[in-house]
Amino acid sequence: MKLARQSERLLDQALHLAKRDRFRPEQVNLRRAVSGAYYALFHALVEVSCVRLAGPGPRTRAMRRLLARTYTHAEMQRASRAFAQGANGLPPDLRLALAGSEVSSELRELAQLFHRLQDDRHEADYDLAVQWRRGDVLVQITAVGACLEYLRRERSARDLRTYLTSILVWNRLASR
Amino acid sequence: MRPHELPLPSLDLATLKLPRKPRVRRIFIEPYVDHSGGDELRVWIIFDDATTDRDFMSPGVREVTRAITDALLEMGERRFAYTRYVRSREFRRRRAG
Repeated sequence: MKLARQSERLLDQALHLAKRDRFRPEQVNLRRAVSGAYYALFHALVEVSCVRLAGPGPRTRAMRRLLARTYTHAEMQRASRAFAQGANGLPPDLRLALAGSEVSSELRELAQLFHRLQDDRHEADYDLAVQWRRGDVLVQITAVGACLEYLRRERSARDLRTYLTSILVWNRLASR
Repeated sequence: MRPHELPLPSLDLATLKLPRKPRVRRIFIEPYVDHSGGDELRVWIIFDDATTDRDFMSPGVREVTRAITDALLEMGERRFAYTRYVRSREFRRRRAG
């Protein structure tokens, strides 16, 4: 699956910022790197989800654009938290939708990363007292890269399809 | 019992199946309140001082993360593990500061 160039570029930019200062990294560069890594993952998830829901190709582009503006960070985070715990973390109705399949370790890692990185982004953007370390930031960027690769590679897994729908309508799914 | 009243979990490095490299020296877990106000866990994964930036980007770190988060889930831990990755000296400096 082709992913938005936007996500790739955001991740490239995050890596560039994280590595930019050879000896003592500027905190402002590390903060922007964390934020960029989060948005690379956010936009990739939204795009892949929209393609799943509205369909690919130019005829559905307008619908995908419209749909893309309806995802919320908080709802995506709540869905991710549930999937991060595996099938046991999901509401019973949603477990039925998985039709007996498990939540793969790759999807759990993606969901964990999204949940974690959203909090990191919040700290990076709003809490100037937090001191970032380059190694820590590089871990996050590398993990996002692996998740983008997973989204690119994985096409038909039921657990991923369920997750990509859930991130849009989690509040209604979870309150049933 | 509310999440912040629960005891902190502890993980034994010897029983976790961790890769040899990058070498984990210690795992330190403390209470953490996330940006939405949830009582969760901050899990510091503390690597050897010889760990390079390149090591931080290696697949081994992913294995470490997976081993730790899986172990916490298996223990029945429902608080979210917000992981941080640092070298020993960075962690010591942080604790001192």
